[in-house]
This record gives sequence, C-alpha cells and structure tokens, in this order.
Amino acid sequence: MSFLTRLLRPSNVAFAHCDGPCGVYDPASARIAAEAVLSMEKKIAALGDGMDAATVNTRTRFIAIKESQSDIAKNELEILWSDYFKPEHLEKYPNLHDTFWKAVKLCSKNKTEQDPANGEALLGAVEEIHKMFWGSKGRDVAFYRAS
Amino acid sequence: MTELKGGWRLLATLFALLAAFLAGIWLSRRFTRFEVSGASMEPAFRGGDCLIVDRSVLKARRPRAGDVVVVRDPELAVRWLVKRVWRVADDGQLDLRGDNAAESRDSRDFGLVPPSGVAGLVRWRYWRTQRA
Repeated sequence: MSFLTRLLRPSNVAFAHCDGPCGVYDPASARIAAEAVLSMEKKIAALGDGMDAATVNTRTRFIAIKESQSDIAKNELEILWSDYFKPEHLEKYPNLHDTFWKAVKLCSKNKTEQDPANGEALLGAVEEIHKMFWGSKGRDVAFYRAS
Repeated sequence: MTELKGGWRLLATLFALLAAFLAGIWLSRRFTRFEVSGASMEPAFRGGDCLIVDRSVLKARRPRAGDVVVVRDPELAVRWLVKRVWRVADDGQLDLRGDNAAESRDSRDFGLVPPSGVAGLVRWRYWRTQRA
C-alpha cells in the first residue's frame, strides 16, 4: 500500500454488518450434526440386539451420541432460524417457517427414535435450508455430505 | 497595493500560519474518518468505503429520519456501526436500519438506540475501492 493510501485510510472502522458479534453463519454445522445422527442410527441398526455387557455398552454409547448430536443439530438450526433469517427473506421463501419447524421437529424425532429413515429426512431438511441460506446471499453453494 | 515592509511581513506570515494551525485543530476536532466494513448499507455505502463523519452537527440539531449515523454497537460497545435513522421515536430514541434490510442487523434486532450513542453524522464518502 502506498504512503498516500495509508495516510488516507481511517483508523476507525464502522460496521455495516448483517450479523451479531461473531458474525459467522453456515448451515454446515447443522449438516455435520445431522450426519452424525444418521451415522449413529445406522450403527445402532448394524449392532443387532445382543444383550451382553459389551454390546449394551456400545449401544448405549451410540444412543448417547445420537441424542446429543440431535440436540446440537436442533440448536444450530434454531440459531439460523431466529438470528440469521429476517422478514425480508420470508418474502423470498414463504415456506421458511414451515421448513424450519419441520426440521427442528425432525431433530426431536431423531432423538427419541432410532430409525435411519429419520436421519435421512433430517438431512433432506438441512439441504432445503442450505439452499435457502445460500440463495438469500445470492450464492450458489453445492450441498455435499461427508458420508 | 503597497508592499509590506520588514517586520510587518513577518507578522502577517506568522498570523497566517497561526490561522491555518487553528483551522486544522478545528477541522480535526469536528471531523473524523471511518472505514466501512460489511454490506448492510449497500448500495449507498459498501465495504472499504471511507467516510468523513461530522462529530459536531448533532450537538446543534437532533438526528432526523434519513440521516446516516455512526453509533456505538448496542450489542458490543467496543465497536461502531453505520446505519440510517429510519424513524425518531417520540422520546427521541432512534430506530436504526441498514439500507440493505436483508443483510442488516439493526433496531429490528437490538431495539431503539439512545441519541447519546451516536458518534456523528456521515457527511461525505471520500474513498471507494473498485470491486474486483
């Protein structure tokens, strides 16, 4: 940077930001939690119904992780829903509230049940939200899955 | 025009320098500069724009709808926000909005802002970097 531009550049910054103090929103964190939920549901199904101590221990661990990741997914979605999205976005996506409502309900369903179909449905809902989120920024970001 | 002689010329030069010095002090007290970060005031102002902010004018008159002001962030006191006064409430508090409503965090989120939080009125944009 030249001396002149350095001299002209103000030392104060005024924020014209869309975001809260941290300012980072991305549906990816919800997707990762949803993927963990689906992964646990598949592992629970594959484990079978053995009742020996080791199997019970492993099953209990899978269930605990599935439930905590369901809560994380729900929390991440609710942050996007309440903090990121604004009334202006609702005009562009009239089904926004319905999509989020169904998605957070799916999180609860994944927490209380163990059917991998629920995990797939949750990932589908996250993908819809992903499209609305990046669409609201005018960006075309491909949805991908880690597994 | 008669030429100033000796001591008078020196005195006039000193007086001019003093006047320029005082004007400099007055200008630097009255105006300050801010750089914009973020997209919430687009298209009027965008990230990288540099602004001259008048710190005195709002002591002489109240902020009114349409003014673009620099205010202390009600949610994070160490930083400044640039927003437009959308409406002045009956009690004098300011309803602030970003011009780019879809990408703005403003009074819709943090409520009305007291005029005491206002640092100044945006007067001019003196710098804009071209978008890549």
